[in-house]
Amino acid sequence: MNQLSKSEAQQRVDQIHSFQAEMNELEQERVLQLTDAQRQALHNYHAGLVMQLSHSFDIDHDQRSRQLSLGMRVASFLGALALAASVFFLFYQYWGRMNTHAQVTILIAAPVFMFITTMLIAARDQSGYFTKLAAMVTFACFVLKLVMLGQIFNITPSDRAFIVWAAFAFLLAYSCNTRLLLAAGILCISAYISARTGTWSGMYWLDFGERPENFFPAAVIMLLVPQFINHRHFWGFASIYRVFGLLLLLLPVLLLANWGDGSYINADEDIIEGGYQLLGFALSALAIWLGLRKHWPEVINTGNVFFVIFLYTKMFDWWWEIMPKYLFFLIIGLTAVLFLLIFKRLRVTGLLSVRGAQ
Amino acid sequence: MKIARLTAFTLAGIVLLEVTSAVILGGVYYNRSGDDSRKIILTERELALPYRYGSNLENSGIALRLNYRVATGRKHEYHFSGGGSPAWFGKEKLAELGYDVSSALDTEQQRRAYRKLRDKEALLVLEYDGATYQSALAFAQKTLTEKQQQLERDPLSETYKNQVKQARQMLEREQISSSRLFVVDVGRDEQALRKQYPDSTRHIIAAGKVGVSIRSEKGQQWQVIGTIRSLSIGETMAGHWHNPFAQYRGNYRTMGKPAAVRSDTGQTAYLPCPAPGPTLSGISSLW
Repeated sequence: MNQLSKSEAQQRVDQIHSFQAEMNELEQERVLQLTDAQRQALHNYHAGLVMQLSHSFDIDHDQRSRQLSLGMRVASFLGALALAASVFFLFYQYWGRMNTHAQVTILIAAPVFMFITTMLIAARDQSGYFTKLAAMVTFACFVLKLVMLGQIFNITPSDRAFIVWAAFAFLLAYSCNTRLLLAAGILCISAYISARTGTWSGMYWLDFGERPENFFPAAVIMLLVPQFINHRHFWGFASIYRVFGLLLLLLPVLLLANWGDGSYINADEDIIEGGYQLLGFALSALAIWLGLRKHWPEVINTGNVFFVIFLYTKMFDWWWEIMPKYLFFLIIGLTAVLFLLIFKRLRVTGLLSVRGAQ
Repeated sequence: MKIARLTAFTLAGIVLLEVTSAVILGGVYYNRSGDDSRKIILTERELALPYRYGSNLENSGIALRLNYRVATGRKHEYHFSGGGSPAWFGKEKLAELGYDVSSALDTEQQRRAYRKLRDKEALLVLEYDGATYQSALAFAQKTLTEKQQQLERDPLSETYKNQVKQARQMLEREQISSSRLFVVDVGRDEQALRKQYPDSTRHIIAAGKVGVSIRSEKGQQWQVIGTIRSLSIGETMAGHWHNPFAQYRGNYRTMGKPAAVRSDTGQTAYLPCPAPGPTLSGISSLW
């Protein structure tokens, strides 16, 4: 049973509940009748399996626990961010009153202490919510350590800090199975790759955001990671890589589609913006197609959102000044209706192809 | 199984944390291992309390802002603090820093290519109380003399009266409060710069950011100039609570421009510079 991942265990429990519901329907409709012994054996088997899976993976065994766990996820996410911010401001409030030795000792000891605490919590916490809180505070302590040591000793800022932050965030993410830390790691390593891309083209590393194209190599790498590394035992990790990969790709394209001057390309601004607008439409459509083909809902949704943003910004450019506002919003509304019809058609096509395959 | 995995991750994490600490503290040790003769003594004119606002008010640390200036060669810009385009920072220097400045500036496309050139990191040479400062002082003195002569010729002119007043204020600033630290050169090779500027009691070599600008004045031809943008470390920590600046803490928390620390009251700071990026080694009172 330990060979299953958490998502697979959750899937199995959902499958059991669906089976039981359908079985009740079939019995009421008198399509299928089990003997009492068979029914009891089936019930015992499913109950034992659900209990075993719940014990091993802390999964949601019914609808109520599913709703509760969503609330807990939100609470632990917000709590983790708030606690991390609290650590930052706590140090800022008092560090001026300490001598340098005390400052350095606290900065070096705090992440080690918090890291060991996090690992102890991770060993006991089946739900992962408390582990996430502790892991985020640990990461905040580590970021604080590098930032404050840099300030205390006047160390020249370097993009290499992102490598160690990323390494530590990934270590926490994979050891504690925490997607929030994975996102932090992806952001740090992407910042490093983008800064390096900027410095290779001759710019000061801290200015890497001034050329949005610097983010493209990081985007490609993030999109490729789940293709080469199996994340079966890390629920939701592959999705996070794909979503961040798409954001790193499509956000710069969106920016350049409206700010051609930010591009490396030495051409007329209108040509650059037009090119990136076309690229934006093509890439978001490609993301939707790929998501449908590979059954990646997060890729479909991200592609959808960006396609709509690209379309609406274009409409705004074309028509906001020249059209009466009622007409502009009418066109926006009609476009939304058109989208609904297209998606409905796509759904029907998908359903038909499934039936055809059966 | 889970415990073994967590133990392995714990060990890896502790190694990462400790190696990071060792690298940082090793770097700090190296940075501070220069001999004491390479110290430069600055006053509060060059090291000022920074402005504070917003959430930063909760920061109990005290950092001093390194005030430096750039002599642009344009008379009205002599007194400016911070970055700018010095007269000596032309095409040659830019080429030395790795910029391709070979093309002309005749067409809009060529000028756009220059505007697209991004800032680079370089080593800035800051000279303390040297020839550049003396020029600025002499210029302020000369301006005041000129304006006074104009006023003598036309004693009732309100314009000249105002100009004399402004020139006098400029001279006072130069004599009392303006920074005497000027950026006098840039380069990429630290050793070469140290050889060229061997007096480390007068020169600081610090990492900073430079860029390219193009300008055309009064219908003249377009011209490529280098620009000093900023120092990589604009502030330097002033140690802990019990330093001489602690007495200004009340002002510091709410200050816009605290008069108490603006005049030349004689706070002294020592900056050794064995590696690019000066470090504050101490603060004391001159009297």
